[in-house]
Amino acid sequence: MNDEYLGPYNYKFAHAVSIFVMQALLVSLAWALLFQLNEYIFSDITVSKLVCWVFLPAFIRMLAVMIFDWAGVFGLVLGAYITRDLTVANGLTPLMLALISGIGPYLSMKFCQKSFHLPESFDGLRPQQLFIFALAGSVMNTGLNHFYYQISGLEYSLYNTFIPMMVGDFFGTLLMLYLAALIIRTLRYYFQTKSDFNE
Amino acid sequence: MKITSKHSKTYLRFLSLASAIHDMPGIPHLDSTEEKLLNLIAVSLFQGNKINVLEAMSLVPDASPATVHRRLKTLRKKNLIRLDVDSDDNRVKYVEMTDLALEYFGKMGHCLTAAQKST
Repeated sequence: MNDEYLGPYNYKFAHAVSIFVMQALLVSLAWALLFQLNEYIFSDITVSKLVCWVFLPAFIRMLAVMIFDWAGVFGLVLGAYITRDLTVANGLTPLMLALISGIGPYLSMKFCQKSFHLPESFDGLRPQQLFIFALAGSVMNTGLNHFYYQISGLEYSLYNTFIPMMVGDFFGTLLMLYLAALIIRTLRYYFQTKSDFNE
Repeated sequence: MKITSKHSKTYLRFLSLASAIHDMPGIPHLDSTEEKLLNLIAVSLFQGNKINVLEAMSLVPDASPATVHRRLKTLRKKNLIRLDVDSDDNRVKYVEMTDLALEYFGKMGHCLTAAQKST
């Protein structure tokens, strides 16, 4: 390829695309890892492949769309498709559920962002608002999933899928939020102490 | 603030989120004055001194007694210190560390050990 055909605009576009793809891949990798970890830790309280009383990857949904926007959505769709339930016969269902997994959190984030009048940078985001984000995400995901179950004729019930999915998404996100808080604080104290030593 | 670059938007979002996660309720978070005050109280108690509220108010040299008094209240609210009433004089209250504060210093000790190991 001759470099003289690549003007600054093309270079910027290629750079933006590569960053987008990298962010999406990072999200899908984080999703897949946390999905596997969830299956390993909470196998006893797992209702089905996609329904568990504690669903840790729900945290990645919130985090991905809040930080990476549409790259996060694509990453989530890819991640959810990779970890799809292979026992489902209908070929379209895994793709639709993966799309819901990506678009649901994006819609709930936009809703919360508008409700709290938060700027694009989320500047001024309060920790208490994260609870609302987590709750909105779990309600949106469960609602969209069950809407799809209804129109596609898949089996669902209030006690076996709806409540466990909603509770699992919410508690999974909360658990990971507190774990992240502990990690951030430990790291901060660690580096603060280290810099005090160097002074 | 108008965000022009996509990368700076991503980074600012990350920072805002990390800050909100850092301040999650349930785990006591200390500002710099609270941290300094708690450290000074702990050192003084460790040396075997008894500190009443008035003495504690003059512990931090670069903060006014009113500021320190407010921080004493917030430390008490965060369950890091408690106030024990003097048995002879009800007007005098002594500052004491709680179990949570001891746990906090234990964690700080771990961080120190880890930092020493890494240098």
